[in-house]
Amino acid sequence: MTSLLQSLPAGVQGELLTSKSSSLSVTYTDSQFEDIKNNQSFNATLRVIQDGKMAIASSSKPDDEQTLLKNALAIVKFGTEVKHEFPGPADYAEIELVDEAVTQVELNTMVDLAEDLVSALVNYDSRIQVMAGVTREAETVSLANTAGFSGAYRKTGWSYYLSGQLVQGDDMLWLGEWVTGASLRDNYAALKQDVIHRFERAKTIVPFQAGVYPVIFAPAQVGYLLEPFLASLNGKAIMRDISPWKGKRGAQLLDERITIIDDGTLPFCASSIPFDREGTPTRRNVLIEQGVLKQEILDLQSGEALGRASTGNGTLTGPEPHHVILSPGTASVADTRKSIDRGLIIFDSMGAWAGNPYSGNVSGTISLGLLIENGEVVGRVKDCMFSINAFKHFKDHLIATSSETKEDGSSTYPYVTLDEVVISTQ
Amino acid sequence: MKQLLQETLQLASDLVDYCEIRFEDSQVLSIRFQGKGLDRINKDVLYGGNVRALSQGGWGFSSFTDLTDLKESLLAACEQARFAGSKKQEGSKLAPVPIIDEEVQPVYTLDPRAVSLDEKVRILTHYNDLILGYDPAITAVHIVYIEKVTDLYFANSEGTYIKQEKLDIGANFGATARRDEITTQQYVGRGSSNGFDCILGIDENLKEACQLAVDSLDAPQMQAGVYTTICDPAMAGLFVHEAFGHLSEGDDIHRNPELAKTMTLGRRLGRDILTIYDTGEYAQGRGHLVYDDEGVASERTYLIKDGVLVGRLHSRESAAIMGEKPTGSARAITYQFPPICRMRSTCIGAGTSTFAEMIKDIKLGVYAVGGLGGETNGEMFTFVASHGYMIRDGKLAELVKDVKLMGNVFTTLANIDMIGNDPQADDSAGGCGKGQQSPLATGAVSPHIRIQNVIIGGAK
Repeated sequence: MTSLLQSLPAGVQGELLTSKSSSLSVTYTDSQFEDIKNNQSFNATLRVIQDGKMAIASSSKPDDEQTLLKNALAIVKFGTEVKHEFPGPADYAEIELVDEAVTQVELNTMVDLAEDLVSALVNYDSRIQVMAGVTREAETVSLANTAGFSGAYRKTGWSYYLSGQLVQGDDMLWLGEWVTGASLRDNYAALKQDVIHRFERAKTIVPFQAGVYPVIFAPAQVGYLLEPFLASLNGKAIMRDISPWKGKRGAQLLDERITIIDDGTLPFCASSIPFDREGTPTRRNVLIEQGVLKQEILDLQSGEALGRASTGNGTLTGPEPHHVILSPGTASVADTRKSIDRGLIIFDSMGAWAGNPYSGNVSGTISLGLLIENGEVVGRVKDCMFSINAFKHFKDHLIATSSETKEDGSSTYPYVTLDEVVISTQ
Repeated sequence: MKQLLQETLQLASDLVDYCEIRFEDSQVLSIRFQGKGLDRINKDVLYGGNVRALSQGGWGFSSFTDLTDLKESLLAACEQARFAGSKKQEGSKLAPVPIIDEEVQPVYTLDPRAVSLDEKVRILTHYNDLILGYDPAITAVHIVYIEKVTDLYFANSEGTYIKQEKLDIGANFGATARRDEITTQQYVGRGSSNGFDCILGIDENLKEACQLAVDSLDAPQMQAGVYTTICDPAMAGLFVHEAFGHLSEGDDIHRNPELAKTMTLGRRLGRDILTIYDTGEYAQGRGHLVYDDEGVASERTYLIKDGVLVGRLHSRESAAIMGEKPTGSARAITYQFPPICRMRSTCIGAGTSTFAEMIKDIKLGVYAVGGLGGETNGEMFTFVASHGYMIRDGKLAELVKDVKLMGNVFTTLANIDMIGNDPQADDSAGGCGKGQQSPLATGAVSPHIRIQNVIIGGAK
């Protein structure tokens, strides 16, 4: 396919990304074996720049260079106005992204593992309808451009999940957990224990009143709370003049216990890559340090517009973080919970992703929330909704970030405890 | 193609109980404006297929992007199905359906391929300029136009062969207003399965959205509480999709005996005024479907009739297991996925109430307008309005922003006490998510509805 770049007309810059991947997955639903799926996929994406305008063409059809070229050249005159050029040769660090053991896992082993996950939950409570799955993947990516950049990497993927639904009349309790990474990760026992423990604590439904409470957000919920910050740090939002944090570099915006880092270089992490979609080497970027805005999330285009270098976060749709880390605190979540007279711990919610992130308002239906009374979990609350303003709550109402963290492939977050969280209910 | 698919399927005849091949060749044009102008233009080819095989109740699935891999893929799927079947040993269950041999060619009101790229960019640039020029407070646009034309081939071991040409257009036109650290956004959505003209003539809608974005800068955040709520047709369409449509998907129900009990046909879920159906028949909407991805003719499926649960959305397998009829609801988002039970256009049947009748006796309530998105876990749901108005003493009062509703499905259905006589379709870019298959093109048609005791999040 690199011959495609050589065949571009004079005056046209080009960049070609090709990826080839295969995956095998085993799925259990309804506590029973469901299916086996294997996917083979290919994709080639050509970006061209001509007369200061850029356009994109892609195809999943192998050996389809002429269609790619024809489509890209047909639309480039309408393309995005860009001032940057594709980057030249770059030294990028090799990151450990391949675990050969993943590629050697037999189908039978995957089935046995999924079956073991299912059995653990069925044995705990046979009324639970259990879902589990195991997937192994392998991907090869190469990127080259007419400015001389050329790079390639291989990556393996290994993921598994366990979830269950307990229906009792009109009460439907769903919960689950997953593990994902580039290497074989033996967290099976912890996964089973975690899911069972959560079912156990959620079985009793307790009444709850609307009001303003301290709330512990589990790591899986923290991403929703941080979304206003990541959206506001996004170079494209700053460039578009819609970010409330435009021009705030160096300002104390959040509580000094808040440090947010984006890192695309973590070994065997599902979201790590040695160079971004545009050929810029990935790196560790401190975005917020002790509450102070230090660095925006940039690609070539937004970097150029803001007079800065790309931070290695380029994608086809604009700059995006790789693996977001919220620094942990010093107290355990158990210690924080014991300090709460009456409040909630939220493990799962719905709809918290929806809305206008730049307003800072985050609200969601609590699909798994446990009531804390006098420092202890006493049961599950239902039909409740939480609301915060992230800009305000992470500045003025942060109680603690926990010493424990959880990694889920694209993030590593502690538990976050906020005060003054509005809870609506009947 | 027909010969290739049918000859290849012969190889499966002695290996598995059932086998099918689906192959798609899609051309996708997407144009996005962000900030002050055109941000991205793409022309993409989505080309590939899959084989799905069933043996002793176990499924095998194999996808490919190179048509020369078809035979290998079929054998892999059959082998996987036999392995899966050896684990299940229940026997394969597929509800019988008529054998079809047909080529489907849509009737377009305006074929987007007949509109030049110059003209499309000119129209979108006009909307871009209209939004940006509306008011100095409008700082950015966000326009998405996606046009997908697909040749879809389907053949199965029972003898069905269908070739369908399909069109899907989804578009959103957004205005962002900003003052200091306050940012507000408003959108206009459009979508169609039969014509490019769905995005024409929307200047007045855009001006209205721009004015709302500007007005919202000064609007207060919604106060959390429990309110009598009137949903506009877009919000009601989102409600019926999230709150009830997903719960009606047969593959989730048949797998879960307790859920099947909860969803027993004949159960009363709402008042006599409530009728909900899902259909592929609206050619103008994004949920249009002639045949589903199992080769089953699409139909109008009543889910609730006169307040009583009467049906659900089935694939051939879920229908067979539950002893019901397939409804043409098995859909896959691309060749990389097997079909699962999904909605098409989900609709609330028209009632008799006028808006004036709905609002007149509400002392304190909310009028929720424009559905931005939602989510459900079966029992509970959340959905987000683009904006709202307080209702005070039977009249529309101040504009409010950040209106997010939640509720329990069963309680909320029972709490719908008035249904409008003004059904409207709602289509836009984006779509429905289930499993990893998102966004699937779906639509909604609904009148205004009034719901008692809706929980709304927000400030205190």
